[in-house]
Amino acid sequence: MSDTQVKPEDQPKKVARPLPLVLEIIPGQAGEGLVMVMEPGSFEGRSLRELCQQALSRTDFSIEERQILEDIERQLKGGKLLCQGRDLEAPAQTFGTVEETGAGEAYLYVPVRAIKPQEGGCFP
Amino acid sequence: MWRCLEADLEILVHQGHLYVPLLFDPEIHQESQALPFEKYVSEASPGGVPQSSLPAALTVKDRRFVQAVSAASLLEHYGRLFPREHEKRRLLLREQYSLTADLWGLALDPKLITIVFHILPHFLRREGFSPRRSLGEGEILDLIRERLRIPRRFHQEAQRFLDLAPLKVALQRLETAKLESRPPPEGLVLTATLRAWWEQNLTAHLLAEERARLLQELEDREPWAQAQEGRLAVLLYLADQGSLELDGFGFTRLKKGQDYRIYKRTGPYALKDFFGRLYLFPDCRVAVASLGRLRPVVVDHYKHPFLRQHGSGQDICLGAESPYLTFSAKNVIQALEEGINALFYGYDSRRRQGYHRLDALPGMMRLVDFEDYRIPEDHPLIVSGHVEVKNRTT
Repeated sequence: MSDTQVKPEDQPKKVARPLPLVLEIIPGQAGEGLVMVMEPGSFEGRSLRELCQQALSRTDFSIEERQILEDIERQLKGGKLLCQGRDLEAPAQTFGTVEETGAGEAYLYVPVRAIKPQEGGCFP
Repeated sequence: MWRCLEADLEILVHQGHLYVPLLFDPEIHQESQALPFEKYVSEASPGGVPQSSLPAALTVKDRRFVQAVSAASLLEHYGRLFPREHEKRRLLLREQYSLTADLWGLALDPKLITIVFHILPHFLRREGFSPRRSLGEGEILDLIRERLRIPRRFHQEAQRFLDLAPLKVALQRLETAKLESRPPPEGLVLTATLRAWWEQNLTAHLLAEERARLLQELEDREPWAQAQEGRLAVLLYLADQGSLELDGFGFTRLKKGQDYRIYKRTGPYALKDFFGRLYLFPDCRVAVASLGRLRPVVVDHYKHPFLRQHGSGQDICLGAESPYLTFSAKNVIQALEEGINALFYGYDSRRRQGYHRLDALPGMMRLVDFEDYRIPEDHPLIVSGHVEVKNRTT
């Protein structure tokens, strides 16, 4: 009688876990921006633009965050929000990259830049 | 005028102005007949009140004098007229009051301070998403210290710098010196007397300047004396080297003077042409110089639709509405961002902007060709998201 051996799966199935979203709106080419963390389930089905509007319409900013907000508003006068060179009409998941905290907790990171493009001179 | 002072003459001092005797010359004598000579009345004598406008010519004991320069200007402009002699006198005074030893403190260049403490933090990125707050001076130096290896000699210099005792002793020595200036003697005086007055006042003037310099140095150094030695070593290192690069932001001191080239790296990026084809642009440094007008240029040998040629140090085409900006933290950040934004987001394949097009139309002469930058859409850098296509929206 032969022993029955259970063969391990070649590629174990990955269980897709819902991840929290970390949205950062950065003014121009600055190093850092305003950060908003959203719990899984609170952002799905909404476009990235809607999430940015929600983030910018907050009223509980600290003084330092308010300065960053002013920078963003200055850029948005004649400028726009861009993520990976694209407009923000698609859902946040299509833009995000999965990153990990120091403690090994995964999250979806979406950096959005408020950009005031320069149009350049005329074609000579 | 200085030659007059060297000669043995009598000159007239009236209300702080010098009047020199007219030469015994027939022609001058004839010309002076037309001048309205007033009789000199001393302010000290009864009826001698200060006049609002000074007479151009005066007579004293039948001798005629004409107005020359003010006595104060002999002190004020000496440094400009005779810079070498002025500096020599200053050095002699420093030696006399022992101000030369151990006092050559850190020259805190104001532009370097602006760049390190007001421009650099804008482009820095800290790890994690801790609540955003602006960094203090000490924290910025700590951040630089974490990422740079500071040579040992700068730590030793920092220890010496923190010792304020020699500076305070030097100031005490100066307290005994006479720093007040006296008004010039009034009336007819010998040039030797006036020279003595000038020598005394010039010494007082130079000592007052030295005292102000030492007080300023003490004021600059006292806050640092409380800080950690490591932070000061970073600042000494920056002042010595005049260059730094962190997170793609950097600056280098220009060869002449106290000016800097401040730059931000773009990193590699991609642009698409009218047909949706991709072009991979290499990293470059967009820079402004702190001297004169802030105009963003690409420092490296580079080509782009917004640059005239394939070369180095070219102005980025920003259009006619680009404002005239001079050196300040806000303006440098704005100029650098304008330059980078133009390279990243300015090119629109549907509009005629800049100098060149990515896509050549058949039969078109091309001064700068971008074919070597062409990459497939499924290029690993694009697919992995390491390189962004900046103008997808246009």
